[in-house]
Amino acid sequence: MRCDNVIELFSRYREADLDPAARGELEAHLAACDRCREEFASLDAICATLRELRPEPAPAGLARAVRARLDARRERPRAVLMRWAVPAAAAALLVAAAFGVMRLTPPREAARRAPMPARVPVSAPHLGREADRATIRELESVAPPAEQERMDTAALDELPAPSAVPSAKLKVEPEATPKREPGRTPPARAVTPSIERGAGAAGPPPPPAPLAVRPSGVAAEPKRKVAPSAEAPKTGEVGAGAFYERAARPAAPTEEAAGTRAHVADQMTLSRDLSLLEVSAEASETQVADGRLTLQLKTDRTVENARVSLRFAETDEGETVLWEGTLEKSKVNMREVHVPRPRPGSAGAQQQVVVSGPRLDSRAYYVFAPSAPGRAAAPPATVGARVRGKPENKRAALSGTWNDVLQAAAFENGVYILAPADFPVREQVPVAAPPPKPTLPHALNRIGYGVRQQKGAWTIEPVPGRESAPRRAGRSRR
Amino acid sequence: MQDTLAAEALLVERCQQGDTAAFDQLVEQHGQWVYNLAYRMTGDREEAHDIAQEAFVRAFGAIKKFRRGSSFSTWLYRVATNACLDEIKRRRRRPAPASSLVNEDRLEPDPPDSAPDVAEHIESLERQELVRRAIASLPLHHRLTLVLYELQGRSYEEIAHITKTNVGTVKSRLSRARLALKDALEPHLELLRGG
Repeated sequence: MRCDNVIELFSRYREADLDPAARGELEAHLAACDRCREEFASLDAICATLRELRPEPAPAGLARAVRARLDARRERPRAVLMRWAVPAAAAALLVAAAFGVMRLTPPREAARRAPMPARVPVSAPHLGREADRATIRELESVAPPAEQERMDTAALDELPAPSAVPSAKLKVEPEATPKREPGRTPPARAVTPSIERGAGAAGPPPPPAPLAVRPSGVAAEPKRKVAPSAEAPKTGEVGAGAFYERAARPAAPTEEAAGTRAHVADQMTLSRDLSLLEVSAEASETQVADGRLTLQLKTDRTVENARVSLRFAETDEGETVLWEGTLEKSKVNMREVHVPRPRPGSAGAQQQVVVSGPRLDSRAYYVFAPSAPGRAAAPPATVGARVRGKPENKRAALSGTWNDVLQAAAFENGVYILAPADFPVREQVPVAAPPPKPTLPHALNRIGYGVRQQKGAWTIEPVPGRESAPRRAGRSRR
Repeated sequence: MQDTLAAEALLVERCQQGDTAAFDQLVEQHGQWVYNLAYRMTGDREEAHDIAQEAFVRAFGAIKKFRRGSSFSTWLYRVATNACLDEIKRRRRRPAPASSLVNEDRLEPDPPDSAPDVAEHIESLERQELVRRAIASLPLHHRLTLVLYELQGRSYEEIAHITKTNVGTVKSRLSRARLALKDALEPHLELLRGG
């Protein structure tokens, strides 16, 4: 018998758990092995000490303490409920705020029939840096090329006035509807539509003020009124409005979805036929599949009170439908804004649009989409402008031509206007002379951006070292 | 004995009906060994007090599941053992410093009147303290088995039931616990033998 085995058998030996043969063998080994005998003696001493341990008296207050805990436990269910209620509610709010799903309605037939446009990915690296990091860009074009050169704003003034917006008030200076006089183009005139927030509006958060782009001095055109559908209530208040606004669809369904990435702030799913849509947005993930565009707007931090405004347009039977979606907090407000297309060659096409706004300096994102119909080397349809400096500079920097905007609606069949929800067009001023051409690259260059054509796609990107440089005309690449 | 068991069964039945006064009596009856189990497992009186309370609170909450006919003390051992293990595991993240294992007040109790010799009494206290610390250093399940068997006087079968193991495992753990205890007390074997 080996010594290791002997030690292992101590407990069994002590507990008399060994058969007589094994016991005899063990005892014989112990008699012959001093070391094992010592080990056994030590183990015996330890066991004796264990037995020597006196039981500790229980604390006198044990029963009382147990009773107190039991009594406290009876009050616990409510406390537990309250303890978890707030975190649970907060978690639900966070989830709701983090993920919203915005859906639009199915596509229009005309949009479906529209020819496939060239895809124009746009990159604007400055986006996504702002407070809510929720800037997106997208491009779409749907208008037939044959109509690209025929733009008119004539019908703008003849649009019916939508009813009051529940939570946003649209103020447009009334003006006489210009009568159409064939062959004569009325002089340009200044019109200043403005949009103000409705004060004290109750109920849901106010929808974004629409980008009130209104040309003036347009030639009259046969009225092309697109009446809102019966089930779609009017939400705009348009005098001789710059645009026709109708409420959108019935309340857009909002869904909550589990996020895949912690920094995904918002997710919008636009359910419509977007097979023609190319989306490119910095700091966002886009996916166009099965007629559904999914934008995942990412931020590097949790976005609270996030507000995302998405506007894009499609051309549909003589009018530009400006889809406007706002994701505000966890609620989604959707509106459909119809901007009738101007007639080609109208004065409106030369109307300069000056946009300015209180938050223009940091968040405004105005997209000009000039085009050169029929020209393959046309500049891209989108430019993003972040303006710094004094208000006058902002104004200058964001000056563009109405022509640009409207032509953009034709260029590649789309006009794309992305702006914060509270990004208003405060005024439009006529221009004495047609703006220089091309205007967009110059404007881009003034704000430190250049245009790059790569693999048939145009991208707008900052010119290194120019972003903070004094604005001056620069070279543009076309 | 039968009367005691019958009285205990009656108390349990009252407890199952929500009678906290009856449960108070059960706490009084079993509080001593529940507390000792916790104390030997943790080596800390304060923790043992907390664990004993927790064990009884758990027992009261689960007493309706107690089936008549089985041993209440064994059932309570099981509850108390689980409470001990849970609490020890929970507190593992903040292990007590070694100094806390030394029960200072344990070394300075008044010698019992029956102590024939003060020096011998002090030696006995030292041995107990050494053993207490050595026990606290054992692996958890070895410690539990050793405490239940050596200090609580539970049988192999009871320990197997309490710890949800079999008797063979209990024996194996007990054997290893003794050997581990011997290793832990190796430097002090002389003192132990002197006792």
